[in-house]
Amino acid sequence: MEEEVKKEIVKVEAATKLTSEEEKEIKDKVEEMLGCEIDLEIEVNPDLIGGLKLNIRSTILDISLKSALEKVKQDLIAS
Amino acid sequence: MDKLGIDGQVILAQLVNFGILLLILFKLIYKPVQKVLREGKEKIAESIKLSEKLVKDGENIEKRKKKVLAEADNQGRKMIVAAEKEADGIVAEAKEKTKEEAIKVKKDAEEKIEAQVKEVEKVLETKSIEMAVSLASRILKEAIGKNEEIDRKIVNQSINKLKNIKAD
Repeated sequence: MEEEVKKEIVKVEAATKLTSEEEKEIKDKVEEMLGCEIDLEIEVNPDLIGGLKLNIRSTILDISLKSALEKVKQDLIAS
Repeated sequence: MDKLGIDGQVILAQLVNFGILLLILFKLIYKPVQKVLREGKEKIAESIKLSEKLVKDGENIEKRKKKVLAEADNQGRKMIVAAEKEADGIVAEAKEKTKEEAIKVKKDAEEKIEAQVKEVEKVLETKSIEMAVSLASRILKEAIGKNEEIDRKIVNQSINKLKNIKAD
């Protein structure tokens, strides 16, 4: 009897509901990055305005519009 | 002489007596008196000399006194002039110090005001940026929320960004 391998969970926040194709693209890329199979835990978060936010092994990968705007704000304040 | 009742021998004897008396008087009275007189004269002369010396000494003392007073007066004037000069110097120095202090205080105040103005400007700038970004966020949120196409486009851009990230 084959023992089921426990997959890693990667939490994904998206500003809007993702299509299955988009979900697959994300899953493939993250699996490539980590070198193992994963499961996605997807959550819709309108506060992101647009884009995605991934929580991979305690590392936040924020590629949302909210994050981009925040960076613009910090750059403007710093300049 | 006899007819006149004058005895020559008596006269001679009286002359001798008188001579003897004169001799005795000369020896016993005249010389001591002379001596006393000479000594008195000498004493008077000494006294005169002494008084002249005293007068001269007094004059010298008076001259010295005047000289000392003049020197003291001169010294006093010099001291007053020096004290006035020193006082003037102290006043001038105090004025200069006060002026420098006033300039420093003014400069410090200006710098403080300038720093506060900059700080206020910075705060206003930060607030303006925060407001602008917040406004932009709301506009974008509203605009994207109403347009499914833009929504998908942004998600795809994010996925492309993710693809471009190299695995460690």
